[in-house]
Amino acid sequence: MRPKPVVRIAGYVLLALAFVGFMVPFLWLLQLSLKTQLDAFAYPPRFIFTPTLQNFVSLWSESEFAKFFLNSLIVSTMTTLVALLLGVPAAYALVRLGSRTGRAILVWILFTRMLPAMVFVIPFFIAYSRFQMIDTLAGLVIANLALDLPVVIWLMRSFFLDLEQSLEEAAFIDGATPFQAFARVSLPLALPGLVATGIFVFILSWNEFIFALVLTRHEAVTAPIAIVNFMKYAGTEWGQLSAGALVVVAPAVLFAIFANRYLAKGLVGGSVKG
Amino acid sequence: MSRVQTYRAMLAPGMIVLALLSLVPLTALVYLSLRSWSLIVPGSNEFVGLGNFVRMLDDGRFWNSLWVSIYYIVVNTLLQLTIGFGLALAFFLDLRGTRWLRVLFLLPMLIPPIVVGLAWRMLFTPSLGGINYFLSTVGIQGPDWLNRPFTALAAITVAAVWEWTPLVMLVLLAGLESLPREPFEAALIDGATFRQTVAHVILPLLKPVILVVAILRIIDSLGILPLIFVMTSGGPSSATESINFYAYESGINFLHISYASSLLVVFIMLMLAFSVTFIRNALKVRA
Amino acid sequence: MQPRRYKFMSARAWWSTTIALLCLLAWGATLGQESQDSDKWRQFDGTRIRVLSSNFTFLEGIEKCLPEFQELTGIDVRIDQLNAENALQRIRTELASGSGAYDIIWSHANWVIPYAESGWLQSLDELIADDSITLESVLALDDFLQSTLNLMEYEDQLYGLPWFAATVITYYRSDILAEHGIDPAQLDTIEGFYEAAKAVHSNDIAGVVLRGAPSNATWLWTIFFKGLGGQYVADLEGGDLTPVLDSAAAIEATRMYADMLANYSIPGAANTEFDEIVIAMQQGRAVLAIEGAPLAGRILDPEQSRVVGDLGFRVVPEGPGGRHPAFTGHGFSIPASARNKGAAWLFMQWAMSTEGQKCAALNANHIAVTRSSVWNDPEFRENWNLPGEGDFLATFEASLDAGHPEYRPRVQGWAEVDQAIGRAINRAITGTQSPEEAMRRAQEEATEILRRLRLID
Repeated sequence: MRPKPVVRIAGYVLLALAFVGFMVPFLWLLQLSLKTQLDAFAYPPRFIFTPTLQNFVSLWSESEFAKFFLNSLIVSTMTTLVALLLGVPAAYALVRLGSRTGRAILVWILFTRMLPAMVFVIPFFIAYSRFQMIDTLAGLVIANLALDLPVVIWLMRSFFLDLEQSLEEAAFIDGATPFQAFARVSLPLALPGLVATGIFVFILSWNEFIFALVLTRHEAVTAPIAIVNFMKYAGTEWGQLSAGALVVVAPAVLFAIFANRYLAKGLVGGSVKG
Repeated sequence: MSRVQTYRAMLAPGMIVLALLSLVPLTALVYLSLRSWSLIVPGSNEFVGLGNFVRMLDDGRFWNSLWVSIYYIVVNTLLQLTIGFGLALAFFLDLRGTRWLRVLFLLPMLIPPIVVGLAWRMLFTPSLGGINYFLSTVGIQGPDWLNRPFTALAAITVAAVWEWTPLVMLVLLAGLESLPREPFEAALIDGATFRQTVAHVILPLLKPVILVVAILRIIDSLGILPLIFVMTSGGPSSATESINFYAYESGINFLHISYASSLLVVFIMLMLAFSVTFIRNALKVRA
Repeated sequence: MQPRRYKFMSARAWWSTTIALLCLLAWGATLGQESQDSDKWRQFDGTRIRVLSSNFTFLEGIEKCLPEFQELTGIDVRIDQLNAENALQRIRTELASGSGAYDIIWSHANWVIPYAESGWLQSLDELIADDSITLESVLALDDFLQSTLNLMEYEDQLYGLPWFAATVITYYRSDILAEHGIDPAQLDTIEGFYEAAKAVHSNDIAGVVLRGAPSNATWLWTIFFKGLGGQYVADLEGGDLTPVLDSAAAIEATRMYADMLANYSIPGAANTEFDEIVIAMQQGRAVLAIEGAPLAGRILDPEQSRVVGDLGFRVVPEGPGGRHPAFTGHGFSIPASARNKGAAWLFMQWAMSTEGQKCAALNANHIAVTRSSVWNDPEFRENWNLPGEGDFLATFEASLDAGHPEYRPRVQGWAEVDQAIGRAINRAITGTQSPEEAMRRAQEEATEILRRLRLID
């Protein structure tokens, strides 16, 4: 289909506008992160100024931000690993089992997948207070699992459904056990889907907000909450705040650049495919 | 071990953890909603049946949060769908030099929602320049966005649309690219204009996908708690407070966990109403 | 017969030896005391304690003095500072969860009672009774301003130590009042204050600035409310907590307050918090203000202020219902679940000692100290004798004297009622509702809240 020039121009214009719209917040954060506190409040805003890396430096040296960033890394990695470990075999089994209970489980998974985290926060808060799990990294991982395990099962289910069963059948004929067929045949075939799911879950837990807000104090704080804490009383330190925000965004940017095909797969698969 | 047994064994650990982490908390939520427990009032953990729900009917702040939630659901979703569809079409044209933009547009939904809220909050804060500065260059005096009810709602909508439209666009684009070629060729032969093609070929074919995305976004539109938290804290005077934000304020801020639980139960019921259609639909596609 | 005189020692020698011995004993005793004291200070060497608070001037000052404490005790103190609303919420959540993550929390006078009632705070009386961790001379409870200690009590037990005595005074531009021929004494009555604000308001300079943000408004509004004879609840002492927010006094106070902020104040007055008011006064954008006395230092900061020398100070206006300057206090408390109570208690004693408070006052813009000894300290007074019409320190002290702990009711859950009133005032300011409608709705909401909390039937 070769649309008329008018349409093509409209397309370019729309994309250009969208581009500007999408870049503005990033650019705003970027310029604020490079300004001194004085410049930040200058009105009219100064677009020509001497940039400073001081905000980034003090972010890592003065505050405990490095520790919180590490926490985020640990929690996200652990959540992804455990969620995949539990969810991938479960998804495969669900697909192969079919049956009535299978359906009930699927309905439950779909249902919980759509519940926002807030729904779980209060029971988790009470339980964690009781069992002294507040402000622990393990506690955060478990909480994130509640949100991400259904996602893993749902996504991997659709990827496993895509697989041709003939290769598995061949493996059975060759004398493989069901688990071997899974591990040696199906899993490698579903690897792209696995990677997509893994990345997706990593990002979900990296960005997770409300559990981290309510269940941590000062040891298990993750990066997004550290950013929130920067909003102090007598005037927020916007420079450090923006610098921190950009740092927190880094994993997402890296994934987007290097793994965008996987990401797109995961995001679309999670949404549309049944 | 038979096949079925193996499969059951593979399923078990995941199911146990799932039950523990989702079934138990949700049951606890319902249980809490039937009591009057407030952590800050000693001795308040008593059974009150539907008492909380009855109180809700009289609670002006609850009804307000309901309206705000409906606003978010309707307005945010509509805007995301329209803009998302437009962008999907634009990408579908596969104009030269626009491929890399697709990657860029992924970013808004990948970055932590808290950062989205932060960036937009700064843009909407008059004293930091931002939107009001740009408006002033064309002679418009910008309002104090986050401190007036209507403009605060608008600001949150802008942030939410910015954050989620990429997802809509992605899905619709995937849908567009998976459409069969014949109808397009037929339309071309018939000499249809672009507008006609869109209206009579694309839209009808894409309807199932659009529906799915719409329902998904409707269900997810209340997942903007971080945005509300950072940008307005539900204000000014609860003007931007959705049901689950009200539940957060009530339960975590003021420790009325039972009342907050009942608010969340109502919220879940609302979502059930929407998601039943989706669940049925989604399960039909693959048995 | 004459008594024998022993030549063992002459009388003089005896006396000198005795005196010398006594001196030695005394010195030895103080040495022993000092080494006992330094033992006490060092008994938790190597511990780390965590403090959760909001960012106050006192904390600014104390943080600068921390190295002294570190040297004295070997205890590492980490202070987490958040903005007020977030800090209060985090503290509530933390106390409710009993996780023991913090050893010291910021205690707002309004919250001591609810926290203590729920059993979330460590009773300080118990710690004081423990001689191994208490240094009487440093603690010197009698030296505290009694009204500030009262704020930290519940059922006759002490649950916190105060480091901030907050009250407000009237600030006015002496030059502008003089221009308009208004006698500052007119500001002593509510009517006079109101008329003056209207008279001096112009396009160039606002008549008055007051807090308008819903979360803050009642802090100042209460001056007018109670001054006009209003009462928050039917009988606070007697325990009848039925709210009386739709009385004539309430409506009139709201009408006045809303009128001042809507028509005789700066733009955006409906959402001002103390920060904006300080800046407005600094920049000379308003004539009258009622704001925290401790903020005078900022308002008259020579590096940022344009009005040094043109400011005057008076106690807040009174009405038929009396003079009710805003009064509250802040301090530290130890959660019942804290893990390092001993070390925390040592820190509290040190930080709120005469030396500690003075160090904080001289190292930051902190004036709201809670000890008489610091108030009367010449260095302190010299530092804080701010220039202007009327004696600043005397006005501040007079306001503290008139302060009543129950300025606003400090019962369980009053914060929510306070919010409801604040929203009502805000609606009246923006004109969304008339003062009458706004206060009636506040009355409904307050009744609902108190009923839900089982405080009234």
